[in-house]
Amino acid sequence: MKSGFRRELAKQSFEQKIRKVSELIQLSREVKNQRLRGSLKSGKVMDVFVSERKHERGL
Amino acid sequence: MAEEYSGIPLADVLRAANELVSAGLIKDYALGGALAAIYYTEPFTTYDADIIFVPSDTTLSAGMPAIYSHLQSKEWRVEREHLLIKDFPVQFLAASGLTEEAVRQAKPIQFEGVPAKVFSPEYIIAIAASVGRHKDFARIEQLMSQAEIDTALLDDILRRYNLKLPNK
Repeated sequence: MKSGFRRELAKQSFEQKIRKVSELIQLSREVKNQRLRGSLKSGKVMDVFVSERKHERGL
Repeated sequence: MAEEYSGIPLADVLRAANELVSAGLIKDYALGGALAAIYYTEPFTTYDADIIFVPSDTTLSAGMPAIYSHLQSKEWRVEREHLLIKDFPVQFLAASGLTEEAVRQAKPIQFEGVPAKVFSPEYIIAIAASVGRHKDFARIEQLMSQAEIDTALLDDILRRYNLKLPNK
């Protein structure tokens, strides 16, 4: 079933497949950027940033 | 800031390769690597294009300096082993032995109206068997299950280059 679906995808035109690969690259870049932003939020850099802002507001 | 990404500029890559042939800097070329495999299989992620060429210059450099110089004059950029067009990396690799035969026997195609050639699946499989990385074996499996393979031709290529498929 799954392999049949894959064979169907393989029958698409080369232009269609290249557009799909472009979309996959774009998606992969977006996920990478999101992960990067996520890791900054949970990381020490962001902790320091938040504690500094709290400190400023307290002054 | 988010990078602008306009997709794989494959037509530009093929046009540039055709120009290299017209300028006499290479004799012939074909699309190889993952993009050639995608011609026959379902699409999958890849981050560069491989252009395998038969050099006009038979010295050790295979005419690479002239090729780089020509493409850089057309606003291609150089980054490590890649030439970049619209931020998409392309590797130009000189053919010899099996890869030269693959170029000469490549399938003529049109991509967005641009004439080009792409390695036939039998040669992609043989080259993958000769390289032998994990992803090459995965490519062989994918081609064997999704592409129409001329098994007599594949066996002939494998025999002549003393290669074996991973499950044989």
